[in-house]
Amino acid sequence: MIKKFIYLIVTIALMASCHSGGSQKSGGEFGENDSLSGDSALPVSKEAMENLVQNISSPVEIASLIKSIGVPFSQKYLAPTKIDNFNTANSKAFNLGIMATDLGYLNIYSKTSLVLQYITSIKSLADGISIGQFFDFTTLKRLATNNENIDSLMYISIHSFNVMDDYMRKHKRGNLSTLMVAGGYIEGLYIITQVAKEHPNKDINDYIGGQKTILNELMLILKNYQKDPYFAQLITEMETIKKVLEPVKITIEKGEPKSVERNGMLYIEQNTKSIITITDEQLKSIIAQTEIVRNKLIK
Amino acid sequence: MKNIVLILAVLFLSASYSVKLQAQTEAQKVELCSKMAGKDASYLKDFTADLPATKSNEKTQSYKFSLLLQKSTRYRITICTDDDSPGRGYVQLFDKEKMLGSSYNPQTGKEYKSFEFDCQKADAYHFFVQFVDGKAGKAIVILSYVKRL
Repeated sequence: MIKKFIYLIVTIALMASCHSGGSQKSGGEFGENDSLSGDSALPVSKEAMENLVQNISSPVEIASLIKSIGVPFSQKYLAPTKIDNFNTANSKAFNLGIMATDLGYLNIYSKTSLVLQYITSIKSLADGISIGQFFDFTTLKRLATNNENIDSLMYISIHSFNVMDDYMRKHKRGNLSTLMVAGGYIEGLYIITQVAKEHPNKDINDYIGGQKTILNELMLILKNYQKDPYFAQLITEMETIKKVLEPVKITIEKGEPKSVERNGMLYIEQNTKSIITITDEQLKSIIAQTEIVRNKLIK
Repeated sequence: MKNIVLILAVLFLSASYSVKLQAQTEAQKVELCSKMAGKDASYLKDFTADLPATKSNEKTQSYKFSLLLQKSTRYRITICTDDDSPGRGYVQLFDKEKMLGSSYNPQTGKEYKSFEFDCQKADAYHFFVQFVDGKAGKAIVILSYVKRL
C-alpha cells in the first residue's frame, strides 16, 4: 500500500513537472539569444529569419485599420467554423491561424456572441496538435458569454496564441508555428482585400501594397520547409499572390531618424518612408487572386 | 516508512506549489507589463530577456528579436525590468544596421520605460535588449499597437 502511494506521488510529481515546463516562460529556454554589441553590424541570421515570422500578420492591426475608416462589421469575411475536414497536423495548424485572425476581427468589433463559436473550433484544432492546454478556453468562454471586459478578451486571446506559438518554436515544431502564421496572414490579407473591394480607401490600398515586402519575408520562411508536400502546395499557392503583388511600386525616401521627448514620452521618428504606388488594375488582381487562394486553402 | 511517505508528500506538495507560483508569476508579469503600456495601446507580443553579466573583454550581452512592422502605424515598446534584476534593461531599435533609437541614453543616463515608434515603412525591424553597464538582468518587453497614423 505504502509502496503504491510512493509510486503514485512520484508519477504525479513527474507529470506536474513536465506540464509546467511547457507553460512556463523561462529566459533560459530561449534558443535565439545572441551575444553581440549593440553598435555592430547586424546580419540577419537563419534564427532571426525565423523570428521575423513574429507579428507578420496581427489581427489587431488589420481589424483596427478596417474599423478606423468606418467599415461596418461583416460576418461574410470570416471563415466557417466547421473543422471536420482538417485531419492532419499541418491543416490544423494552418486553420488555427485562419481562426486566430477571425477571432481578432470579432474581438475588435466586440462581437462576443460569435466569439464562442470560434473559440470552440480553435480549442478543438489546438487540442488536435497538442497545444490546447495553452488556449485559455474557460476564461475566454466566460468573458464572451457574459459579454464582459473586451480588453481582457483581446489580451487573453492574443496572449494564448503567442504562448502556443512560443511553445511550438521551442519544441521543434517550428513547421506548425509557421503554418499558423501563414494561415493568419492569408486570412488577414483576404479580409482586407475584401474590404478594399467594397470600400475603396487609400489607407487600405497602401496596406495591401505594403504586403509585397511582408509576403517576401513570409515566403523565405515557408521555403525552409518546402520539402514537406503540404508546404510545397502552400508555397505554390502563395507564389500566385506574390506574382500579382510584384508590379506594385515601392520607393523609399531616405531620412535621418530622430528621437524626441514629448510630455515625458519618447518618440522615435523614422523619417525614412516608403511610397506605395498601386494601380486599380493591380489592386483588382490582388483582390481576386487572394480570394481564390484563401478559399482553396480553407477547404 | 511512514516518515518517508510523509516527507515525500510534503516535498511533492511544496514543489508543485512552487512550480505553480513560478508559472503564475511569469504570466502575471507579462500581463502587468502589458498594462503598463497604457490603456490606449493593444498588446501584440511579449519577449523575455534573461541575460548573464557581460564579462570584461566581451561584447555586451544582448537579447535580440525581430518583427515585421506595418507602414503608417504607431507602435509602443515597453520594458519592465524584474524587481530583483541586478541590471536595468533597455531596448534599442534597428532598421537593418541603422539604430533608430533607444530607451536609454548613455550620454545623459536618461531611461524611458516606453517609447513610441511611428513606422513609415513596412519591413523587418530588429530589437536588442541590454542591461545598463552590462550587468546581468531579466526584463519583459511588450510590443503594443497604438494607432494608424
